[in-house]
Amino acid sequence: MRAAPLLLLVGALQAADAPAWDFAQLMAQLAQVQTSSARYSEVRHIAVLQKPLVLSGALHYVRPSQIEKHQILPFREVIRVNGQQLTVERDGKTRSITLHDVPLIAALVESLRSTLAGDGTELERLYAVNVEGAKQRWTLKLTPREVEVAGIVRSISISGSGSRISRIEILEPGGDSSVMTIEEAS
Amino acid sequence: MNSYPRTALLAWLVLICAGAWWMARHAVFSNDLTAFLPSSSGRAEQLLVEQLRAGVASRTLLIAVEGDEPAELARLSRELARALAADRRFDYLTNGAAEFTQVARELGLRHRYLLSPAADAGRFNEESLRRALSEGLDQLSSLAGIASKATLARDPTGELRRIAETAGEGAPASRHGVWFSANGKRAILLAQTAASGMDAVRQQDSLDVVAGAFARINAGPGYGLLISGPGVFAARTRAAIEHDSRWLTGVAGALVLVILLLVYRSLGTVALSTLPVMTGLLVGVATVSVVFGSVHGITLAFGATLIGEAVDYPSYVFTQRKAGEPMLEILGRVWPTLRLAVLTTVFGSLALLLSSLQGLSQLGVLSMVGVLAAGLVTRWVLPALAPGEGVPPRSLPFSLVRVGLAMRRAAWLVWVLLAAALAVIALRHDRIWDDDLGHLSPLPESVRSLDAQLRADLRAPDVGYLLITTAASREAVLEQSERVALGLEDGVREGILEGFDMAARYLPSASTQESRRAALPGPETLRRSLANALRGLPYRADAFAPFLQDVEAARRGPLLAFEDLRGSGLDIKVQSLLAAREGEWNALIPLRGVRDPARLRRLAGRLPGETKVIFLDIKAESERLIGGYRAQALALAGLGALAIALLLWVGLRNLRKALRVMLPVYAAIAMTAAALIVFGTGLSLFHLVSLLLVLGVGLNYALFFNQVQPGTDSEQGTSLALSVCFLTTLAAFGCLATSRIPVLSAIGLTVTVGCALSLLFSMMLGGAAVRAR
Repeated sequence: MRAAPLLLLVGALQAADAPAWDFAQLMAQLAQVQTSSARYSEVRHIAVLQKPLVLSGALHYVRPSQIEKHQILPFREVIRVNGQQLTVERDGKTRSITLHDVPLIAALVESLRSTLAGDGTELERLYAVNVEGAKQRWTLKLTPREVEVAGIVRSISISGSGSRISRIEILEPGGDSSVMTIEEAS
Repeated sequence: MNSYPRTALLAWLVLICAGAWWMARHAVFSNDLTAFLPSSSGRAEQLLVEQLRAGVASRTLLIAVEGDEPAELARLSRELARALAADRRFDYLTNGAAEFTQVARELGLRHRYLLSPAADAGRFNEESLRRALSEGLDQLSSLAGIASKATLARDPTGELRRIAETAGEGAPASRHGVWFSANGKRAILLAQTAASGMDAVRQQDSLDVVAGAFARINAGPGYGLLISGPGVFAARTRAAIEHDSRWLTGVAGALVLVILLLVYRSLGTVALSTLPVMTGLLVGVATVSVVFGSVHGITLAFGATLIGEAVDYPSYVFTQRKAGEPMLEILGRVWPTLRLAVLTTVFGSLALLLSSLQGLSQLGVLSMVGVLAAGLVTRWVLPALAPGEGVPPRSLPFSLVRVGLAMRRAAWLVWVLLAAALAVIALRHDRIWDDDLGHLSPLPESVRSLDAQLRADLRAPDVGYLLITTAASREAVLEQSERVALGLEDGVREGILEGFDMAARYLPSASTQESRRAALPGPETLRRSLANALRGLPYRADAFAPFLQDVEAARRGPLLAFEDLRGSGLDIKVQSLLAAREGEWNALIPLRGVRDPARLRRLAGRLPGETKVIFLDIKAESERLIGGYRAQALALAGLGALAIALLLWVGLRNLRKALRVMLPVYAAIAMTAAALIVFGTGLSLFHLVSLLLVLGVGLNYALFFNQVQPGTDSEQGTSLALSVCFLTTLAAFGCLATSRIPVLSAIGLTVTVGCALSLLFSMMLGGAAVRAR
């Protein structure tokens, strides 16, 4: 019985001793995922509003470059990104744009899509990256490289465990922020 | 007898010294190609040419970085842009990136209530505000909100977005935040040089700066730099003209000297025979410089060769020399024919002289004065300098006269060919002329297609069409533009065109700005409307205080003036679209995607009120102009031919003889023209000029063949004279035919072919052939 606390201690030491979890490893891990689906809820703190906006819906990802965001609340809106094509479906109307033409939105889309795809090259092109934590509990911090993007986003922090993403926090230069919590369907 | 050679020499020396002095003190050489473009007719065209020469558009360079990887292209574009923006040789530079549009964006934000076309009274009532605020709320929960949120509190009605959309109409595609071609293979930059577009030397300097900056930004091996624009054209044209006038003139001159040396076997005689042409060139160029103030590069390049005909004059004399014969005696025999030969060329040049195209009339003056001077030097100065007996020239192993006689049997072939040529000309009479200005440009096709490509990448307006409206002041022309805009917006809705650009978009007229400012509600009214509009919406009550402040500031603030645009890049845009000249202000309105020029022309014709606007179809207009000059040149050439015919009739004192001299040459000209129509792009103004030159040279051949008595001394001498003359012409114009400048090569080819045919036909059909029958 005396061994139990010791075992715990050893276990804790081993965790602390675990090899550092770096960006390349994280990307390799994420690149294993072929498809994923999750429910999300998002809280946006916006200065001009009396109280935060709460949005929720579902996210789908299919390797290598397809993501879909089905927002259910406060209104239904489906955003599909496939390659360079972005379509927004709302009120039965569909609008389509090319990501090339909207670099700001493209940068935001890539922060999620390239992370899901484990595309380190693309992420590093757009953002300065920094990984903290361990395999089971990591945080990827993205800081925009281009001034234009930095004008709307100060930083993006993506947290997760293994190949799963559980939280995305976006801080804006004006003080507004948004936190998206993701619950992956197993 | 002794005094008059001395008088001739003295007169010649004075002339040479005067010419040399003038050239040293006053001569200005220009490479401005517009001298060879139609200079003026209508006000609009004049304005256009002026804009091409000196307008802001002429200082614009289109720069592209080409390669496979868009992300890397974007990096290169940014670094290149930063490097060039820091260079004083560029007034303005943009690659579409935010850092270069930031000032304009802030300007737009600050003056949005004066700039936005939607800012009228209804825009700020409770109902409109409520609608705008609800839309804003929607945006906050959507993707697009991220970008628009930053200005929501200041600009809830979205005026900035509306201004940016209008200004961004027809902007190039964008990737990674910078301008790109639609296919993503080229990142595009736009630079405004400090140097004028026609200042070829400083433009070359600017181009070197761009190339140097590109070399320093470490582009990989797969990445290249492309530059186009009027500055590139000017620099390359200058390089091409300089190269060709130096080298071709040099090579042609050397060839001619070698030929003469081979024939005369005496350096002294060769030196003497260059004297008339050198004198002619000096006096001719000096005269052009006196008359026109400057001498064009092409005039010089072409004129030097044109006067090359004058190398023939001493040849006609020296080749006829019998052993121990003094100059004056030879001249006694040859001069009557030579005099006619000189005069026919002078009469031919008359047609050029009268052209209203400055470049052509310069050529006319140069060749007329030059040829006349060369003729006079041959007649009076050569015998004064070398009165004695010279070495007789080398004799030919064959006689051109004999060859001509032998070929006489084939004369029917000439008639058949002539008939065929005339048939071609008659059949194609409606498609003989090539009035496309582009074919006269000295630039290779690749340069022009690159320019077209980069313009398409930039989604630059159609170069083919332009609207111009004119008024007495800047203010008035802006107001007028705004009325034109109303009509054009109808046109856009009807699908006649895709869009347009105008200065009034960036700098609305004061009256429009005033009415927009007057439409802004007072602070109390606006506060009340806003409070009511906010009811029931989840916004914070004080969220839109910045909006209230901004509207009040705009209501009390000054109007937007041109000076406010400085440093934003919009000042350059406005300047490029407005032009003041002779106390009038013109607004240029470039058009995009014109689908129906005819309807657009009608639309321009029925604009409301007093608004007057000119619709310019630039290509059709310039073709019409060139066609006009060509028709004029044709009429003048006809006049010249008639004058020559009269001259020959009088000179030869016999109509039949005159006809016999003219027939072979006119047959050769008809056949050359037919060949150009069949094998080339058609006849341009410059072909016409060349044919005139063929007439001058060909008539010399025919004249000398005409006076030959077969079997006498004159047969041997004339045969040699014509061989030498033809070879020197072939050498000179053959060189010209290799020029990269289409104008020069067209002239070279036409003259070479025309002279060869003239010689051949003169041999077969000329006076000698007839007499030997």
